[in-house]
Amino acid sequence: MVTTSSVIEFLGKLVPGYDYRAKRSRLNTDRSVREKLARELRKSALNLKEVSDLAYRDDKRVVVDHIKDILKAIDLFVVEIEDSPFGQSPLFKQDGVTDDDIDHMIEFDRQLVTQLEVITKTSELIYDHVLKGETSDIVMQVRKVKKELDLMKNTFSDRLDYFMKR
Amino acid sequence: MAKEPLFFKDEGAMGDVFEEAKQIVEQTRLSRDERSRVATITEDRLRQLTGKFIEYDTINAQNNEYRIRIHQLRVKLLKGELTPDEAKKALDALAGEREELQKKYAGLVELLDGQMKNIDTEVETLNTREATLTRQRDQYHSALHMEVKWLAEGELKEIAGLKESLKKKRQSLVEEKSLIFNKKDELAESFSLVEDVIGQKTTRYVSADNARASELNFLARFDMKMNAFPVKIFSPQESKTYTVTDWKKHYHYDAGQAAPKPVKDAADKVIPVNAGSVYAIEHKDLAYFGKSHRKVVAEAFSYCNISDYADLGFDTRAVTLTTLMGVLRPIIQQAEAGDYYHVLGIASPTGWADDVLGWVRGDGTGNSYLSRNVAVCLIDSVIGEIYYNQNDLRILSYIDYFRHEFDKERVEKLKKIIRADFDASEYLEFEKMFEKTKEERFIIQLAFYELEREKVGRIKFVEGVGMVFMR
Repeated sequence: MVTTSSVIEFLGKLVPGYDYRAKRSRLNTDRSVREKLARELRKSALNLKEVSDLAYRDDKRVVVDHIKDILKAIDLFVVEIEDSPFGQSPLFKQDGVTDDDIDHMIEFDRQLVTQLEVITKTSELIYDHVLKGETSDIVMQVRKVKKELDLMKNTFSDRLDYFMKR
Repeated sequence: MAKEPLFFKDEGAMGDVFEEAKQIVEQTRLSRDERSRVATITEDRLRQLTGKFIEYDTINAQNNEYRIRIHQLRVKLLKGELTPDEAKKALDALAGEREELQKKYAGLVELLDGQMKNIDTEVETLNTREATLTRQRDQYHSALHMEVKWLAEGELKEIAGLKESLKKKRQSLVEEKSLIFNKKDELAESFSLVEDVIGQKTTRYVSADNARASELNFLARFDMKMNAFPVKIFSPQESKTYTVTDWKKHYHYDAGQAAPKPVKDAADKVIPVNAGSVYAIEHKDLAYFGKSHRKVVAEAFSYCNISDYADLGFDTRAVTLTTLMGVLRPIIQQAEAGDYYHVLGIASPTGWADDVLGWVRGDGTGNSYLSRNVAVCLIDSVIGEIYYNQNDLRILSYIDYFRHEFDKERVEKLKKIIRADFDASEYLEFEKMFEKTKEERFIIQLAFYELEREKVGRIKFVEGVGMVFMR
């Protein structure tokens, strides 16, 4: 069971009013989760954009290109998150949803939030190291962020599939 | 000219920041989980520890019923409705109940001890967790681990709060325990209330009217003295003397609802109400704002067995040590908790039992009551005698406030003694007069001077003898 109190408490702190059990709050919970994902991704994008500006100032075209790549991916992902057709999911229309479904919904959210946290934290760390002048392996780290972002996108697609096909 | 890089100087590798970020997120999650686990466990334990004792209320109710029965027995005996033999038989019948209650109270004490032990263990666990968290907080001083640090700090604050509430609970358990001991003592001496009557062991008969008059007299005189401004109030805690010209914190009280209702003719009866008068010096944290803290409290109150006055219209019992302990217990606890000096003048119209006087005055072997926060002075409000620990220098400046007579009355009383002695002798020595009357020196001096003004005699200083009053 993933619906342990600590997971729900954790998600509840990140997303106020987090609750899939009641029908009336299910749609709002999904929207709040997606808004949170989009907001946090924009924060990471902002950090990386700053790094990109510094790289541009120091003529590091390779770094700029890699960051540009990830920024573009984040932009697209944010649009996907915001515009995805979750509202049509049958899970939001029916009164009774099984515990199994709720468990799955919570598990998807937990995975997304954890991946998001790693992306946000890594972007912060990259920015910090750049300010310290430790930049020799920056491209590798940026690519790792990109990889985590791709994983997150996959999880999000799986979530959408699960929600729509129920 | 090529521009020098400002940030991308490639001075070193940033390392696997991605892995580092993962670790931080994992650590934060673990810390969060641990915190929620500890909080749940602690809440459960705290609920168990702070739960009210249902047994306590039940036993107290049984104890009250028992006390009422003993009191009724005493009243019937005093009114002549029962013969001593019948009273003895009734007492024998109550012996089993008394033992049963004493056993129950002993069990309750054990329960409280266990509870206190549990609290101590819990505090120990919290201390260990606190040490771990403090280490964690200090270890993650880098800005990168801010979240873990915040979590640790949040939990540390919670632990501090929990420890505080456990401390308070323990304190209240200690209070409850002392209350139980007090009740056990009362139970132990409960038979003596009736046995004293059977054995005709009465010391003094004081009617309700007289007791009320003494009470009013004592408090009125105390109030008069406390309002004869400027009043000097000594604070031993601060080693300073306040000169009071206006009391900002003063109130009167009486037994009120706590007093038992008289059996009949309530409107016609005048009974004492255990009234008291309190004068306090308080200081605020800041000049005008903040919480007030007590510095010195001077309190005078009268203590009577109200139930006897209500039911019988008189009382004969001197106040015993057990009763006095019951009265003093909350006062001492409050004064110690607030760390202020509380000086008490307690008047009793039926006088004080020998064990009480021994406890207050002591015999110079260190068995008298001497506390940092509380000083007690006992007054026999019918004969006007005052008892206190003469070795406690801090209470000396308060004795006059509790003393029955005003200075003027004391001088007049002494003048009568001097006149009587002077008729039979040629001269009176100051020191001999002091030894005889045990009155304060300035009162004797005033009496001498007044008598000189009245041309009864004259004062002379004789070398080797001192002040002498002669013709």
